[in-house]
Amino acid sequence: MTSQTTLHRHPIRGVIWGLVLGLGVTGLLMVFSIIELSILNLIIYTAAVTVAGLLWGLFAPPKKPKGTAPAGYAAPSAPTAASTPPPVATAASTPPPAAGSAEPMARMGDADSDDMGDDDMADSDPDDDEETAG
Amino acid sequence: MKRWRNLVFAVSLFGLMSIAPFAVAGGSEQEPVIDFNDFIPAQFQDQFDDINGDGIPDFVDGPVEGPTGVRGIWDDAFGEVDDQTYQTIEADLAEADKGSSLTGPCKGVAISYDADGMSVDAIIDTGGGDPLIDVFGNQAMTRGNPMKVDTGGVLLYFGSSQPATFHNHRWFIQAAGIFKDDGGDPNPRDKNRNAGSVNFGELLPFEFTALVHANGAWVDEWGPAELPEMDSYPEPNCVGEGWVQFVGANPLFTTPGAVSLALALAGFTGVLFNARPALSWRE
Repeated sequence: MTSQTTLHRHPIRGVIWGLVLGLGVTGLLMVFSIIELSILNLIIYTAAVTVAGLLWGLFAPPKKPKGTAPAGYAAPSAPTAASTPPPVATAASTPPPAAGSAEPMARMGDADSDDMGDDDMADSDPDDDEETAG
Repeated sequence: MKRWRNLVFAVSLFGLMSIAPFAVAGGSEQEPVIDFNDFIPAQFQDQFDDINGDGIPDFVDGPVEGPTGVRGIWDDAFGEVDDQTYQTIEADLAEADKGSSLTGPCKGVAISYDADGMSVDAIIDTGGGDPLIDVFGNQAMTRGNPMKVDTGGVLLYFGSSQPATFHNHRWFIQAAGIFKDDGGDPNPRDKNRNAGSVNFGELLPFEFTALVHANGAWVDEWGPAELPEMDSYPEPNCVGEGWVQFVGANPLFTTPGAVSLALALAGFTGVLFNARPALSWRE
């Protein structure tokens, strides 16, 4: 799988969402009187969480790819007629999958179907730091 | 199933944050050692009584309506509160920690009330080098024992510089590096005491909760120029610092708390689900 996927990193998204999270967390710490209300604290805590967001966008464990792999890239790992026995014919049998089918990959993608991520957005995001996994 | 688990987790977290402030705010086991009734002029005694049993006089008929009706009640009762009253105060400060001070001849009393007129906290300074103390005789306005002020209530105060009288004086007070107020007066009438009230419920557009560090100074014969923050001031002067905790409604139900919670939830969701690196199939 790793040789057929591309890793999209999101440093700018990490900074933006980290900034939002930092402002919120710092605000909560202040309204609960855990830290002192001051401009300096606001800057320090927000900056720290923003940096954490940046690092998360760069180095967090990547989400698995969704959907099925393109047929061309799944071909090398798909079973071939020479290496696998022919399917046993039964009355209710279905046709065997064609060479190049990505069914195993599709299952892997489905396993992460509960993930609320938005992988589709990654492809058109200008802040994507794209690299090939492998 | 996963979403239900996340929902239960989020609801539990919200409930914990909502209940925690009330669970932590337990009653005190200490006995009051200072009778703040001594600092209320006799003609106003019938308006106050210790209803909630914390040793601090409460408003009998709820808080006064705005500062106009209360401002100067102690000014008019000249002589009611003099140095002799302060001399009766004794506090055991052996275990006092750092973080608050009020130096110089300044002394005074401040009592904070909630919106129903029940006392929240009270502090007193007897003048000289000793720090401020609370109703239990502990050092007050420290980080661990801040002066609690209800942002939906009223703060009554009385202060004096007896036996000194400042002229051509300037003062400032600031908090958290955000709020600042300053002023001064030639003081041709030789006033050396003042009293009044601050109705936070009417002054503030919304309630909030926060812990702030405040400091201020009051300098005699400084003149009309603005008083800056300095390491040391010309004598005589009064210089003080301390911690104030603004309390009131549940923090999450105040405007700053709700905005902070919304930002935190949005940011958490964004970081977790939108900023995380992702693998995609190569085309």
